[in-house]
Amino acid sequence: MRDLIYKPISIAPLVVFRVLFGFIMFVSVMRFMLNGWVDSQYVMPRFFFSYYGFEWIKPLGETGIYVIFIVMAIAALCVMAGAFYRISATVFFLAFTYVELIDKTNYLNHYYFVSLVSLVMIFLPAHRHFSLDVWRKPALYVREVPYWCVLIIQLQLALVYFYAGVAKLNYDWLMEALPLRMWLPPNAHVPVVGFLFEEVWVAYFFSWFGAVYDLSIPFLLFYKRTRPYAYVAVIAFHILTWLLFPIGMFPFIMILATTIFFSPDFHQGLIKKITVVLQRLRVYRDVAPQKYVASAASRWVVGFFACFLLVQVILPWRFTLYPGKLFWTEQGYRFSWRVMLMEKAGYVIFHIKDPETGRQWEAYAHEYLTPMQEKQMSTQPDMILQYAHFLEQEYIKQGIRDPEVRAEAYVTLNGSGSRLFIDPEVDLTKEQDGFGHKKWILSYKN
Amino acid sequence: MKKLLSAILLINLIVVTSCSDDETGGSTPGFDRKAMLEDLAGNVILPAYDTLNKEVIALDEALNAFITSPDLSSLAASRNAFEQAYHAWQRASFWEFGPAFDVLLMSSVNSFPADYISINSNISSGTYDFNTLSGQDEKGFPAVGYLLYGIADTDQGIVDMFTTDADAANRKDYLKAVAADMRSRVSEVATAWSASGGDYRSVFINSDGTDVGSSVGLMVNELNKFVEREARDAKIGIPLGKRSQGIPIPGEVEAGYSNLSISLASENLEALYNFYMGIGVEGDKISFYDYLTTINAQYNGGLLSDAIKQQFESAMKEVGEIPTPYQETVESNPTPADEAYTELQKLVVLLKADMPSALGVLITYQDNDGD
Repeated sequence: MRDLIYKPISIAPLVVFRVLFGFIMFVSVMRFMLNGWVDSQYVMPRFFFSYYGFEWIKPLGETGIYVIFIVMAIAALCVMAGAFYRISATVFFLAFTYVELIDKTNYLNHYYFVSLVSLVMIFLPAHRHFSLDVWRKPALYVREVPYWCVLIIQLQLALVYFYAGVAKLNYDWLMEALPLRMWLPPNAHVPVVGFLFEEVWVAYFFSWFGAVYDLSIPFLLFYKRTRPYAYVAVIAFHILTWLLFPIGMFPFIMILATTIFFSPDFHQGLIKKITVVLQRLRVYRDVAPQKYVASAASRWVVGFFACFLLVQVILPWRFTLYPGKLFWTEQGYRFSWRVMLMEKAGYVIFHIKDPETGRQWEAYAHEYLTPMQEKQMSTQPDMILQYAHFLEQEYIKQGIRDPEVRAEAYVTLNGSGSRLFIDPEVDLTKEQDGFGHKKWILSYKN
Repeated sequence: MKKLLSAILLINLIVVTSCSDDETGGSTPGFDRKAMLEDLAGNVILPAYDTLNKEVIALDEALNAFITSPDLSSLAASRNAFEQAYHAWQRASFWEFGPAFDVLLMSSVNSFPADYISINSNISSGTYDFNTLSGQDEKGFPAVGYLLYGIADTDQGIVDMFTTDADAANRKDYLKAVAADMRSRVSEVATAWSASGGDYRSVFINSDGTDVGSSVGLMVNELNKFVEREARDAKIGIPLGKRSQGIPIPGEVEAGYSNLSISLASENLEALYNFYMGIGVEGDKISFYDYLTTINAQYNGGLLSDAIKQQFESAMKEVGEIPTPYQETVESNPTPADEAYTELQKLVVLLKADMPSALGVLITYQDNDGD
């Protein structure tokens, strides 16, 4: 085991990963800005749903957030080029993670994945070949690195797939083909195969295939003999999901990231070809490689990575500590690779009462929230509580000393029909957020 | 194998750099969305805009006749035309996308209550600009309603305001300008939809996907927004005090001067119901009711399509039973209005949570990995 993770291997897979990751991050950040989403998600909202424990993360205002995004784009380019690598990787991680922590409305599993990978990248010597840093300081060039530098990324990817597969092992997904049975028919306009999406058996096939794919693909990518077929499956699977669902950059991130499983020979060959081009352009400088010397800190890094993986192995199971149906209560739902698992929609009416006058009235989400925030809030109890507390503060500002806020929320899960979600008798201003079970979530009854 | 992998990688990079989010439409064998769009356009939407256009032209003509010779009979004729046109508006007010969105139709012709203070100062100064956002409640139906019903206590008093009053000439000009503004905007929308005009009808029918910008996406999102903010809040809830710490605001009712509030709200709700059911000039054709039925959308053991239909019926019944005039009801007898509000509330839940979820309609283009 020790020998395995410290065994020297070619640095090439790590270097290619750095270039591809930097590239796809740059594309993602630019796409986000060009779509106007910085404005709609981080400038326009009047209220932000912070993460529990991260309430100190505050939005920076219009200029500030654009500066962060531009810095993020430049950092991604620097990671790609291997320029001032440790600094640029750190800056990218901090900027990206900061933005994600501003508002849980925008939580996506692939953003979480990017945060994790960019954290890992900070500690990897991915700039020590084929980089501007080596061009500046030839002494950095090494030909080999310990295997753990590549393994950590492979294991991170394997974990994402495997847990995404585990999450699919539930009754609705496997036995009812939900929510795919609802999501596929509107896609009947896809050329050639479109008509298939109306067939129920296709929804079942996709559900089962998706589960088997997610559970097995890490292993098939690790083994050399199955790897080429596995990679073809990776491409087919992700392109298909990209065509069918609005899941943004995730398919491309995964298609590029999984190249880390290819053999060192493949990556060396790739670098060599690009090097030839660069030499022709006279922008390449030949340098002699140094031997990789593990720094004293590398043992700490390996230890950190072990803990990092262990936490991720445990975290998705925390839902078992809460009573009730996970998809309904969403207690312990995030940070667990639950991707495209359910169709959920809701509507919340906030009933306000001033106990001093006995007057009652109503408040709605659209008064302060963007449509996306409203949609996300309507189905997630912790966000409903946060918004109730926000309303309490607003009314206190308007001179009501002790407003009571109750939520009459209706939620429909996997097209079953909307039903009462939150106990409408509970004054949410008296409830606090936390990791404990939220007793005011009504149970899901069939 | 290595070459194959390199080639695949290269193709990926090309796809990534050139990827876009465009969505295209198409028909589905199980339910023909295009047929539904054709029916809705031909049976419901275009006839509604045509009628509105005719009624608004008739209103403009009646008002001009009144302006030319203001007397009790031309006032009565104007009020009659106003009532007709305002009801026609209730049948064409909830498609605020495409042409209607382009001319800001809803806020231009029906921002209520009328800002009578600004209207009066516009009249005495003789200067006003109907293209500003702040001036939306100084024109349209609410302004006409104020000028035809609200500027004096008696009918003769109102006629006098257009004949003997010091500002009579300015008032006539103002009424004329308000009528002309409504006429031009409504006509622009009706023309833009018609085949001989802008032919938005074709755009509408061909945009037959379910993404945000598709016709289904636009209609579903506008429908639930309208029922939530107009049918429930503006027409019923806000006057009732639902948003003002429980204190009723009679002055917020729609058409308060003409006492048409409940009649208009009922007309509007019935039009929404007909739109949902697909009932129009050619009878009952394909619409969202049929769409939801065909895809077998569920609602707690029954069909969602029926649940929405029944909820529409309950809401129509309760709204119809609110005593009129509404501005008095909200203070003296709020219970029937409260009951109507509750039924509208239930309708909002069905239209805003269940229906988009069942149809796979999203609200933004933003990335999503499934809640």
